[in-house]
Amino acid sequence: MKKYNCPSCGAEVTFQSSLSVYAVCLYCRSMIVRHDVDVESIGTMASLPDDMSPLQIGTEGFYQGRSFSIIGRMKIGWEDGAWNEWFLYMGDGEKAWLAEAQGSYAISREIEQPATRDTERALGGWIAAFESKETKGFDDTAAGPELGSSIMIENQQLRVVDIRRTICLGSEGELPFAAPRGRETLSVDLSGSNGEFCCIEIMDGKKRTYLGNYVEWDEMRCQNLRTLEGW
Amino acid sequence: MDESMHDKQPPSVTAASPPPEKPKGKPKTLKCPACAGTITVKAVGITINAVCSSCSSVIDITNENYQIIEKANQNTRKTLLDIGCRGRLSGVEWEVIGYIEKTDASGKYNWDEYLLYNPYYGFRFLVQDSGHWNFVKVLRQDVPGAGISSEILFEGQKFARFLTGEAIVSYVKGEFYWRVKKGERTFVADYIAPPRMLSFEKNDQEISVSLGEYIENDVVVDAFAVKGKMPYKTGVAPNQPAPDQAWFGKLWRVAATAFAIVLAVQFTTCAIADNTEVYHEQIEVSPQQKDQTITTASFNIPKAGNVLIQSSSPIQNDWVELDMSLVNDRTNEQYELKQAIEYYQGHDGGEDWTEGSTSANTYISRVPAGSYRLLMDMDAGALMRNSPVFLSLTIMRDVPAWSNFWLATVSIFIYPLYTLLKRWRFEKTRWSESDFPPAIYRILEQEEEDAS
Repeated sequence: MKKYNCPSCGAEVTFQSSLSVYAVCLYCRSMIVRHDVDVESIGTMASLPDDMSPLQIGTEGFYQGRSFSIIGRMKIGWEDGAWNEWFLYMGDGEKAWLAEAQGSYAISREIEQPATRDTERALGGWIAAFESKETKGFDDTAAGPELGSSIMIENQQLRVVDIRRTICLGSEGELPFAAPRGRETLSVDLSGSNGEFCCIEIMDGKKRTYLGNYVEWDEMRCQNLRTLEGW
Repeated sequence: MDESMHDKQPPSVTAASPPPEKPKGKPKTLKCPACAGTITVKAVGITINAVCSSCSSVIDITNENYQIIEKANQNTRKTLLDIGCRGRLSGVEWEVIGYIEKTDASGKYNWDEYLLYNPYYGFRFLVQDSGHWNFVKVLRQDVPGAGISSEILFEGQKFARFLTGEAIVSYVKGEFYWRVKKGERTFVADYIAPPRMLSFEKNDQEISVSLGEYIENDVVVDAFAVKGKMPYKTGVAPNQPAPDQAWFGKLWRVAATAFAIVLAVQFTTCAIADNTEVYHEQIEVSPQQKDQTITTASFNIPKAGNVLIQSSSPIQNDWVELDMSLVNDRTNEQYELKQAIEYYQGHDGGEDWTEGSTSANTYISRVPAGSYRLLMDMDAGALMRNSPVFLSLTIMRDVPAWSNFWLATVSIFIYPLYTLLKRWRFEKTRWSESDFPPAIYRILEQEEEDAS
């Protein structure tokens, strides 16, 4: 854990994970980026849209027998709604993400070499199409693997279930990259027949692949939950 | 706004002071842009379309602009489960936050879908169709073959295709995490493995597969404290478990075990039976003896038990009738019996045929030990024609009998067979509503139709 002072308000800003490079000050909502020795403010984060999520920064739980704690969040919006991407600091020091969308939960970790060369080539279609930014919506038929098609990722047959342009609606806590409002990505969701979850995120001509599983609420055995009125 | 917040720095923040309180999650209220009534949203942050409870207009709440998607000016319809009511199912408390009425392509057939919400467990659907209820969860995992194959293997269980068709949204109220639209059409394919059902739904934007589980009406009534009258249950629902589903297999296992025991008893009885001959005689009866009683020599039956009287005669196209009486020499106790030997054969239309047999067997059960004679009066075709009759008579004792065995077998299987028939009728009713009935139900139905 490393501590800094907010360049804006002077309050203490902690980075629990050495993998975090960005944090939002709890007090003044300054967006702070961590460099080698110091921190820099890159602006102020507006408050996040309301939701009924039972999760919050500080919530602790388990995934595949290992503990995690939530240290950050991105609120992601798309044409038909919004969801939460919770940044997890795992017990083993690794990072992971908990996607909370429409009342379902999926935990995934970033993987380096996800696909075969053929799959990579196909994914290139998405990158190119997203980069061109000619159309506002995303024409999936012109680009990479289309909705409903299967691709191999880490020797697992996964089906493309969603391709959508997303925009960051806000962030809080600490994150492994700067996530200001308006950060745009192309997000492709895939799922496997045994509950595998995969998300390919395309941004700035690069892609990041996250692979994991859908999880049930009870499986996570969460603690330190947010208070929900009426529940 | 962002900038003003930036400027307004907290005056004296120290590392020790607690961070600002995080707002707790709570329902959100907004003003209906159509009628200015209040709309309360429960699944805040997830709901994107809400129907105003005052004017029934559909409002897009994806962002703060609150656009009217469909303007209306009418009261919301009353439904069996009202928006806002709560109930416990599968150990989780659910709140009804949405209601959709759907119809098939013909518009004549409709059903109810209630959207249930719990902030921890997400969403479920409670579906009412012809008085039958299903508790449904949308699946996140990929289900290969859904909507295409005639059979799906899911979680090690085979699901058979039952129906394909269209579902059209005919009425909505409450709030939804997707865009709802009256008149929207969805292609639907249902697969069953009672009490479970896999439903595949596809429209222009989305493909989804959900898993439903049949639940009894009482469960719904108890869970949601339903006051109104439950819709009348008609027919057999696609994934309704057969009434005897729980013990059907058990019943057959019990029957099979009972049969195995009966079989073992029978074989043991056969193995330990004495099965010995107590009397044998070849008798020639002349036409002169026609009206006389023929009496055998005395023979001894050493132990009580059954007695088998076997008579045979090498006749052809002829008959022999015997009135017999087994008489105890000491007590004069009699066992009367009749035997008939008939045997015919011939050649007809290029085929040989035979009818009857040249021998007859009769069992007498529980004959006490003692000395006996057999008395018989014979009548025969040959005697009428003034020809002699040759009769071979054999008397056996303690012969293994099969009649009890068959009686026991029938008693064992009569009820299981009855339940099998009932089960078959139930399954036939179920599949009569299907587009893809298995051959066994389809063929018989065809015959019935042809007959009527």
